[in-house]
Amino acid sequence: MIGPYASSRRRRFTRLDIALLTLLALAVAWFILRLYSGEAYRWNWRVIGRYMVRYDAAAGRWRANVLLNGLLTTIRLSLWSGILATLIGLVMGVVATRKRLIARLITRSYVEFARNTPPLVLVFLFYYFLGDQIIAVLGLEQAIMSLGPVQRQILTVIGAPPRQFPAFLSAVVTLALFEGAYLTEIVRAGIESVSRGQWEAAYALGLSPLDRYRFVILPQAWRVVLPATVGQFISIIKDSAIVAVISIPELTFQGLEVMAATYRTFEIWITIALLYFVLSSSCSWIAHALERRMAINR
Amino acid sequence: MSRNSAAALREIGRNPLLRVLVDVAGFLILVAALGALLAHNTAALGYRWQWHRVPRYILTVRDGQLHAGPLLLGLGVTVRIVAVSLGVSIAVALATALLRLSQSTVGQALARVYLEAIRNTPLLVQLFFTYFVVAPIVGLDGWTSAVIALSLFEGAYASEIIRGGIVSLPAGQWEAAYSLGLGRRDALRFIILPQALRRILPPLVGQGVSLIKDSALVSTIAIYDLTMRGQVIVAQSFLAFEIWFSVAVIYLVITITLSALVAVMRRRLVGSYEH
Amino acid sequence: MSISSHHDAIITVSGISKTFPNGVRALDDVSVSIARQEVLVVIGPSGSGKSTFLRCLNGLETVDRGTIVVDGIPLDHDRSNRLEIRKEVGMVFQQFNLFPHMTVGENIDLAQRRVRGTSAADARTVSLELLAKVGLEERVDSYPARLSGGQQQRVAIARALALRPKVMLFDEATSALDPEMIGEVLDVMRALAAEGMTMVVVTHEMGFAREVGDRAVFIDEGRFVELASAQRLFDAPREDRTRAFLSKVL
Repeated sequence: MIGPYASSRRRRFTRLDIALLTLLALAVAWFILRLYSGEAYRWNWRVIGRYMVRYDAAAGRWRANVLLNGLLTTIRLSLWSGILATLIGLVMGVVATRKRLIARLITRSYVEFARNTPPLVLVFLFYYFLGDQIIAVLGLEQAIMSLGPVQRQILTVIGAPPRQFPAFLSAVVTLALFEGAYLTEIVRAGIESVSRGQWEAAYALGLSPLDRYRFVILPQAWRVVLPATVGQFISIIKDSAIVAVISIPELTFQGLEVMAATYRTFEIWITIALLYFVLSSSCSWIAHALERRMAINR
Repeated sequence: MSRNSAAALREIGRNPLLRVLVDVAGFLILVAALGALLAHNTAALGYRWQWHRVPRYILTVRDGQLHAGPLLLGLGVTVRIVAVSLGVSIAVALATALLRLSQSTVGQALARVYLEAIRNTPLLVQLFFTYFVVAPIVGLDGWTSAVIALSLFEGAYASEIIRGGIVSLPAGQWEAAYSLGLGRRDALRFIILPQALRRILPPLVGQGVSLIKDSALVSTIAIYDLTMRGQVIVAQSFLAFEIWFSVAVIYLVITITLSALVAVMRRRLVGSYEH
Repeated sequence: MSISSHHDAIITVSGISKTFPNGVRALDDVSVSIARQEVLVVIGPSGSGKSTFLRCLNGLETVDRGTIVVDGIPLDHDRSNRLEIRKEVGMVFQQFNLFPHMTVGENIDLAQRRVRGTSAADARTVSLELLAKVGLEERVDSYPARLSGGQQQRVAIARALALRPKVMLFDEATSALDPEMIGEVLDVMRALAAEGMTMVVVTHEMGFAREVGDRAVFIDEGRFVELASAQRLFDAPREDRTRAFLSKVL
């Protein structure tokens, strides 16, 4: 009976339950009534199946269609930008804990800029800059086009088909740049969680600055950093939906495309929401398992 | 290195004011270099910088009177959407937090389902879901869909902040309230919530910053907010960099001001109660 | 074990047991009745169930088995009974648990206004009276953080007295205090006992327990090992476990 936290242990069926159930039933009933009143929506779930996989008559086998490909692109996109963002976070996070003012000026401006601007605006900004400028300057397009067939195949599996690769790459970098700001803060917090005594001990042992980080500080910061990093990876999966606005063929973009082609609005958005849900919640399930394992090994 | 310059460097190393100046100068040089690189690269690709064309999109003078340009009009829409969503999301958040803390089985289950659904899907998909699926059934316009999607999204995160603030209070506060004969409602109202509020307020304002940022997504369902106005201008004028930089700066001014407010609040509110 | 049954019992505890969800057996078939104006002191090693016993008396903990009746009202799942009992029973905590966001005066006003519906002015009159009693009248507008531990605990006593309870429970009221502040709190408790307040006192202050207690009970592993007059229990304990405990703490 004491405090609200007792409620997790003690559950009861109260008057509130009856009220909530009634309300829920009414809402569902009203929703269904609206759905089937007037021009009733005709469900057609088979469209979804068709856009998930298609039968390739020429090759005589099933192939992933746009929706499934979109899901795979979302996963590849999240993975690569997650890795890149972790690298950014690691470097910037270490720099952020340095005493020099210039170190803090650089990291603070980066973090504050990336965290206080809408991701959508950053996507537009970086996309024009990266897509049109840097990639053109680097001559990436020509480089990719001159690749052999095996290399192209590898590129397609780990990233995107050659033609889409420059756009894919700028989406990866864009996502990594702003997720990197959050990872910078995670790494910084991890390093700051290591007590002063550890620094002093490492210093007293005469370890070089790099060795201090490598053998003393980072292994301890790791415990704080790892769970938060996994959590940030899950955020990346969700945030990656934003690059749909720059026509990267990931899951959300493909949803818009299929909607435009078929008008099966309800089926599509229910499916896409479910796909994200499964992807994200299975990742957080893994993260929880990981966290528990780390807690045990402590 | 000559002895003199080494000594001069050591002198800089010792003088704290000089060290700050050197660091700030270094930082400014770095920023300038990045800017120059950007300008050079874009110019090399035939991009013509035309900053002078930007102000008219913010403010124009016609017949001796000031008129808000499209960006400012868009900012107005953004501010209105954020204000309404903020109010709704706090109501949603408080209700969800209290349901999760209640002893009601259905209440807890409802809150959990809501939180999991929101936390495991992208806001953009929630926005599309609300706009393309729920809105036609229930009969909502774009603006209302945007507000509902944003409120439900931010409300989920805010409810965890509120719940965290309540749960973090020492059990002794509840016990003291109960021992004095107060009921659960009075304990919440007079003892728990006023104290929790101090812990909740700074992260809640931080969540407000997220709301402002996330509101940019409503441009995808054709709401003419700041971001949408930016897109339209870019499409018409090809001033991609100038406009997106300006839009980013407008957002930054608002969000950084709020973030600074959060920092001040943290220092003021989270201390002990001494008056 | 002797249980003296008073005709004029204000609290009757019969056969209560309590096991925590983690499997710890905190109370095991405990019975006692406490007379009006009696001071019962409860001693025992830490983790013996003393605090749990006390917290059961005003329903902060629920019992698994057994009954508790306070001033004729059964302490059961009935909400209104529980509230009624909490008006009759005041409690003082080890950690004071003053409300940090309220002034001393507001801390004491609160229950009068919300539970009894007393007007603000009347509540304040009573609060000042109670503060005078614990010697802190001039601190009425201070926030708790500005007071010393001893002062905070005296305010907590005044607050617990605000509803004019018939019974006061003290849960190690001096354990969190610096040694030089223990005396001022014990003085207030002594004065209360002298006024004839019914008190149940969990304490580690053995000298105080022997001096103020009418009866004393030694709890170990959730059981009442020995219950006797305070003098007898401290001077001539009969149970081995009581003797062993007292020889360690005295």
